[in-house]
Amino acid sequence: MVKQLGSWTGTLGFIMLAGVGALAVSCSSSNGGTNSNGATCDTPGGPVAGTDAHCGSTVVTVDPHACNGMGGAGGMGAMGGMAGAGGGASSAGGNSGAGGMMMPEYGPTMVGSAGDDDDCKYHFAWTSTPICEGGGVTVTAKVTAKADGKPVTGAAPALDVFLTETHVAPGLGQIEAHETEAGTYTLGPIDFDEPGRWTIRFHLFELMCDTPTSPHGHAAFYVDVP
Amino acid sequence: MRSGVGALVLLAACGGGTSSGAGGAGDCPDEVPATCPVPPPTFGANVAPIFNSVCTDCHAPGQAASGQPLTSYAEISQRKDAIVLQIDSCRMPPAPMAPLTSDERAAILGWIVCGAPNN
Repeated sequence: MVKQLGSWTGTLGFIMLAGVGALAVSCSSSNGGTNSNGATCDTPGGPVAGTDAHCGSTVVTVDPHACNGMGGAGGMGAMGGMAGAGGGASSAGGNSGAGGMMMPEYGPTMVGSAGDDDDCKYHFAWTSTPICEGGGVTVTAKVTAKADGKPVTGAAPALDVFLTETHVAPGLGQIEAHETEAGTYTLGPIDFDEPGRWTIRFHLFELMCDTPTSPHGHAAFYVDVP
Repeated sequence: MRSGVGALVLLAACGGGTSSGAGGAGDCPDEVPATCPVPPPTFGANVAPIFNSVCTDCHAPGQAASGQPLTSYAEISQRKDAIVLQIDSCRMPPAPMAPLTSDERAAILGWIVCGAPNN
C-alpha cells in the first residue's frame, strides 16, 4: 500500500511538473521559435514592418447606444430584429447586377503590430507567441478607445485568419478569446498551415450593428509566416 | 481536437478572465474545400435558398444587419470573403439561431471556392 501510494504520488508529481512546464512554455512569448503546439522554425515570423497611420488625427467616439432602435434588444445586430418567419427577401438568385457601388466591407489591412480599427474608434497593439508554420500560436491584443485611451472591456473579440480568400486557417472555429485583464485579450490557438503573408482580422462587439459610431469594430494586420 | 482542448485549458490557466470566441468552438469542422466540388453547387438552386431562409431575416434593408444586406447575388458575391470566414468559423448565424447544417455549409463554401458564379 505504501509502495502503491509512493508510486502514485511520484506519478502525480511528474504530471504536475510536466503541467507546470507546459504552462511555462505556453505562457511565454519569447521561447525561441517554438509555439505551444511544438511547431518550430529558425526565424519566427511576425507583423510586416511598417507603421499604421490611416486615421491621422481622426478620433471617433463610440456611442454605446448607437444600435438602439435598430431592430432588436440592445441593437445586437445579427441577433436582434428577427423579422419573423417568411420575412426574408426573395430577390436572391434573381439579381445579376454588377453591384459595383457597394462600400467595401473592411478597411485596408495594416502593417506593423499596432494600429487603429477601420473606423478610428479603437487602437490595437498586438503580440504573439512565436509564429511558425503549424498550430498553436496565440495572439494577445491590447485594445484601447481612441477617444479616452481607456481599455475596451467585454468586447467578445473574434478573429479571422486567412492566407487567401479561400485559404482559411484550419480550426478557425476553434479559436477562443479570453480577456486576461481589462482590455487585453488572448486569442488562439491559430494554425498557420502554410508559409506566406497571412491576414489576421480582429472583430470587436461583432454581434452589434456596424455603424461609424457603434461599438462594433474591426482591424486587420498582415502576418508573415516563414 | 485533443490539442484544441489542451490549448483551451492552457489559455485559461495563463490568464483566466472572460472568454468568447467562435460560436461553434469545439464543434465547428473545417469545411472549406480545397477545390471546387463536383458537381459544383449553384447559386440559384443551392445557395440562394439558404440565404433567403436563414440570413435575410437580419441582413436585409430595415433589419438589424441592414448595413450588410445579403438579399441578392450582387450583395452576396460582394461579401463572399467575409462570408467564407463567418461560415467556416461557425460565427454565423449566431445563437440562438440554429447553426447551418453541414450540407448548407458545404454548399455555400463550395460555391465560393468555385468562384461564386451567378448560376
